[in-house]
Amino acid sequence: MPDKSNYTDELSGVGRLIVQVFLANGAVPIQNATVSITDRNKNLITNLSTDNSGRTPSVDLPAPSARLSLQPGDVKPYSTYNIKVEYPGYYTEEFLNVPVFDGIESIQPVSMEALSENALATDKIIDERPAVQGPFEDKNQLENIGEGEQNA
Amino acid sequence: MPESPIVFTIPENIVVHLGAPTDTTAQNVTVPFVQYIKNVASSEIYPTWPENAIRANVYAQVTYALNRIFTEQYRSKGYNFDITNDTRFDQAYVQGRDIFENVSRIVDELFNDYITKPDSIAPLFARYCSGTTSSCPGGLSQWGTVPLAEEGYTPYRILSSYYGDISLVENAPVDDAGESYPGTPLRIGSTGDDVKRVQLSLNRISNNYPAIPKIPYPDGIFDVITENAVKKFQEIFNLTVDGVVGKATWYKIIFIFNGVRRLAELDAEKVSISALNQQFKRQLSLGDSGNEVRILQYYINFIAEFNDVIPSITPTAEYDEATQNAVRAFQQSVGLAQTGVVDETTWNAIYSSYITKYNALPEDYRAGDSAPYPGDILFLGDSGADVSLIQEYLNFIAQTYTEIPTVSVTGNFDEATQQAVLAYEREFGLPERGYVNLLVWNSIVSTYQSLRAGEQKSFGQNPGYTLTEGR
Repeated sequence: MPDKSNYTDELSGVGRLIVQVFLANGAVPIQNATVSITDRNKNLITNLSTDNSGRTPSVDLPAPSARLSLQPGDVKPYSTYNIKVEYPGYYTEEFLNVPVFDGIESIQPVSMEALSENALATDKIIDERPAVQGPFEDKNQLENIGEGEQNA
Repeated sequence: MPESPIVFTIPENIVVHLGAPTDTTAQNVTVPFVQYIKNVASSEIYPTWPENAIRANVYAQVTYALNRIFTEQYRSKGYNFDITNDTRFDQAYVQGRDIFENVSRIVDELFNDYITKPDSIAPLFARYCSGTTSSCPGGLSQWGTVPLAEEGYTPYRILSSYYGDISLVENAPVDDAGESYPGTPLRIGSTGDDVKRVQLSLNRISNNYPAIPKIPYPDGIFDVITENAVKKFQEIFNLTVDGVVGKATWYKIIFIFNGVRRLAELDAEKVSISALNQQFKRQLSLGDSGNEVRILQYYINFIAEFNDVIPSITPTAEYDEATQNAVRAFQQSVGLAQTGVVDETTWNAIYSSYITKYNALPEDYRAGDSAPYPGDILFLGDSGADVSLIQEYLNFIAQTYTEIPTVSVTGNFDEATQQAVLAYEREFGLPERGYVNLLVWNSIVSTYQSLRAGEQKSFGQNPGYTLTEGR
C-alpha cells in the first residue's frame, strides 16, 4: 500500500466541497441537517446547514496545485477533509479523508439512517474512509478468475 | 448490417461484492449503475486530468462493468453478484465516497455508451491498468491517457490506440427507464409527449424538492416556466445548468422520479398492508406463499429503498429465490445467521427495521394521495369505490388532456368508462386494453398526482411564475 503520510502542506490551489443529505437514494432531501467540516488535523473549518434540497452551500478549501496530478509521483495531489453530519432521529454520519482537488468540486452524498428504538445518535458513528484514490499500482486484472471474453 | 437477435440494455442497478470473490463475509450492495460508475471514475483516476483522458477512462470503466454483467462472469460461477471492488480482479468502488462534479457530469453523459469490437453489440473486455509499474498488453494505461489527451487526441482515438479496431455504441437503451432518451435535446419551443413527460415528472419531484418551481400547465409545450424548472432540477442534481433536457438530464429526471414514485407507492400500499395482521404467525421459507409472504416482501422492498445492502424484489406473494436472497442479505446486515428462513427473530428484526425507517420520514414529506392498487384488475362490468376513484381521476386528467372523454362518476365500469380508459392508454403510450391492471392503475394515479402537484403549493414553494406577470 502507498505510504499514507505523503500529503503536502503546499496548498497553492483551491477546491470546493458540497454536502448533499437525503434518504432513499435521493427521493427525500433532508433540510437543516448540521454539517461540520474539519481539516486533516481535526481543526474546525466551518459549520453548515442543508437547504430544502438537502444541500449545503459550496465551500472553498485549500488543495495542492493540479499540476501535481498530471504525472505519477509520491506526493498526493489532493488534500483531505473530514465531514460530520447530524440530524435528530438519525445516526451521526462521519466521513474521513474526503479528497479535494484544485479546481474541482467534491460532492459528498450522505444517506442518513434512522435510529433504532432507544438508540443514540452517537451509538453508531459510521466511518467512511476512502482509502483508495487514483491509479493503483497493484491492479492486475490478468490474474483474475476469468477474462470475460464472450462468444457474441 | 444484419439485425442482431440480442438487444443489450444498460442495467438499472449493479450488485457489487465488497471484497474478493471468494470472501463470503463481504457484503453485496445494490447500486444504481450510474452511481456505481461515478464512484469508480472518482476512485480510479484524478479528476484534474484533461477532459478527454477522463472520458476515455470512463468509456473503459463502463464497458468493463457491462462486460462482467453481459458475460455473467461471476453469476455463472454461482456467485450472487455482478462484480467485486477488489482491484486485483475488478474496479475500485468505495462505498460512501465523495464524487467529483466534473466526473459526475461526464458519467451522466456516457453511462449508456460503450466499446465493442466492430459489428458486435457485446461490451469489450476493456482491461486497463495504471500504466506505471503494472502493464497490461492490449489494455488501456490510465496514466498514458494523460499525455495523449494533452496532445489533442479525442477519447475515441485514445481508446483505439490501446484496444485497436473498435466501435462505440451510443445511447444504448436503459432498463426500467421507460421511454428512451428521444435522441434530440428538448428545449424552449419543443413540443410533444416527451415534453409532457418531463413536465409531469418534474411536478411530481417538486413535491419532495420544493425549490423546483411548479409547471402549472404541463401541456407538452416547452416554455420558459418549464425551462426554469429544468434549470433548478439541474442545479440540485449536479448537471450542467442550461435549461435543456439532453440525455444526461433526461435520465436523471427519470431516475429521481422513479425513486420518488416507488417510495410513494410503498407509502400508499401501507394502507392495505396495515389491514393485514402483521404479527409473526409462522416460519416462512422458500416455496411458501400467501399474505404473510406479501407482507414480508413489502417490508423488504421498503427497507431496500433506504439500504442498498438489501436488494429490492418483485412482490409476487411467493417466497422465491430472490426473496430468500434478500432475507439472507438482511440477516447478514443485522448479524443474524444467514439461513434465508424467516423465523420469529428475523421477522421481528425486519419489522423493526421497516417501522424505524417509516417513522423517521420527515414530517413535511408528503407521499401524495393514498391510492393503492386494489389488487384485482378492474374490467367492464365491475363496480365499487375503486371504479369511482378511477372515474374521478380520469375526469380530472381529462381537463388537461382533452382527448380523454369525461364520464359520470357512478362507480360502475360501463362502456363510457372503458372508452375513457382506452383514450388514457392511447394518450400515455400504454397497451390499449380498456381494463385497469396494476400498470394502468399506477399510471393514472401518478398522472393525477402530478397534475395535482402542479396546483399544490407548500409553504416556501416556488410557485413557478413571478407575481408581476398577472397570471
